[in-house]
Amino acid sequence: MKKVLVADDELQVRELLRVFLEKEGFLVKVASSVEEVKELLEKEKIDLLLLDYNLFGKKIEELISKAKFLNKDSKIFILSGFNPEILEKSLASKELIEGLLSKAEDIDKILERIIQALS
Amino acid sequence: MENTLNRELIKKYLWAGKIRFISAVIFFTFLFLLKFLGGYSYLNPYLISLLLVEAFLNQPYKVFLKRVGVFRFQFYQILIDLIVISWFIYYLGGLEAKVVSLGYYAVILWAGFLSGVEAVIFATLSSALLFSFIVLGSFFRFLPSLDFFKSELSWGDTFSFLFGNLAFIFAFGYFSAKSASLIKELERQRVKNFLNYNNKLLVIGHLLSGFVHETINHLLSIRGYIRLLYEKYGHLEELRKIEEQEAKIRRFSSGILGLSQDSKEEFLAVSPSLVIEEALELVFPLLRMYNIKIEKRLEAKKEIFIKPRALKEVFVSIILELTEEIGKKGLIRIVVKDQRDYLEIIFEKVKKGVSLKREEKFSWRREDLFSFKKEGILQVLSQLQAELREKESSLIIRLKRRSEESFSS
Repeated sequence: MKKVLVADDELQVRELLRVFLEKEGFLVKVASSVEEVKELLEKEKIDLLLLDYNLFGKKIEELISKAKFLNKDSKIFILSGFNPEILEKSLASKELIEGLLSKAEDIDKILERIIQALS
Repeated sequence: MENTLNRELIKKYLWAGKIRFISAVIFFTFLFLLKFLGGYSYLNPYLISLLLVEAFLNQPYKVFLKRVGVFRFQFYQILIDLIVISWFIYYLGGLEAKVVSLGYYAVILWAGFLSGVEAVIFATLSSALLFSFIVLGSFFRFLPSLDFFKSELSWGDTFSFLFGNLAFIFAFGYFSAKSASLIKELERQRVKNFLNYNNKLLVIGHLLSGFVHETINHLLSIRGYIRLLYEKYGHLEELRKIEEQEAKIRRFSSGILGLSQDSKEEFLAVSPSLVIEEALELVFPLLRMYNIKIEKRLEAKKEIFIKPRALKEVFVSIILELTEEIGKKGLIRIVVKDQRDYLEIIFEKVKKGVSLKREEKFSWRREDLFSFKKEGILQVLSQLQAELREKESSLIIRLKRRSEESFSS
């Protein structure tokens, strides 16, 4: 069973994504802080990370490198309420991630991208 | 900001350069006519060289500005002007010298208008020194006699000419310095107001962006729960309505987040009427708050090729500008019409009340909005806003169609 880590500071968002991802048959771990994410990355092998940009801010680059260092096959998506086009410009390690997902997208589209990446 | 001020200053110098060129050419023509029609022959290689220096060399060319910078360059320019004027006085002597001495006043006034108090002091003192040197040098003969008529002024004439002009030079200097500090103060005030306004906008922008970001977060949850409720209770009509409302808020919020962002947006064929509708949707809460009604006639059927978000931003800005000008209660008329070879978009404000209604129209001379590519949207916007303020009226934008040459770039 593929393992997905959802990191978001908003409880409702975390829980909802957990519910939908579990329905798709993934094992879902959730985290609400940078420390929690780091801890989980060190303890477990995560196949896909869904990271809220707002939660990490500038630390996101460091976290992407760390996740890739611990498991080079892990897939990373960045989820944000901001315009993904703008975020993409400011992201230095965009080659290391699968893509940027907008929270304004339909949930189905978000799930579709995740399923595609893990298939 | 400093770049803008520098650009402004260079623009002023270019303008001054043109005036200098025209004056030198007129003076040359005058001397030329004197020589051939009047029989005088003031024109000699020295005078011609000086005129050429004034007309062509004493200009703010990039090569000079690169070496000395625009602030230092003004002092070189003033000094060259004054040396040329002094030479004319020295060479011409007699009555003509008195006429040419008016040149000093022009330089002093010019320094006050263009630069500042320092430049005025420099111009005044340099004028006084050079003028005194020429007049006294000619009178006491420690300068060789070069003047054309070999005229000799009496003691009385010389000193009345000298002190009269010195008194005027210092009086002009004082007047020019006062004007310069007044102009500077007004400019400072304008820049301060501009910065205050910008800072306010910046703060509101940040707050709004944070607020919208949070809203989008919560909307994701609402969407998710609607999905779960569908799964639990089937397709209820009430849930569909909530979903519809959620989609509306999401579209609105995404629209706000997309504004003022430098994106990789592509040129697309879009209906201008649709873009106006979207812009109105964004500003609708504000219009309702100000009690401003919108009367629209969106008749254009043809699409235009443009960056839709950039165009929407222009429309939002225009509507906000008109709203601010109207204040409370009023009407904005928007007409989008297909004309034979262009698209016409008219924004017209109508303020309700006694004698304040104004429907004057003017054309925006910039032929098309596609120059965004070259000039950047902010520049176009600021120009639009400046024109709106200046004319206090409605605005007509004409967009050229794709088939035209200017469009294809």
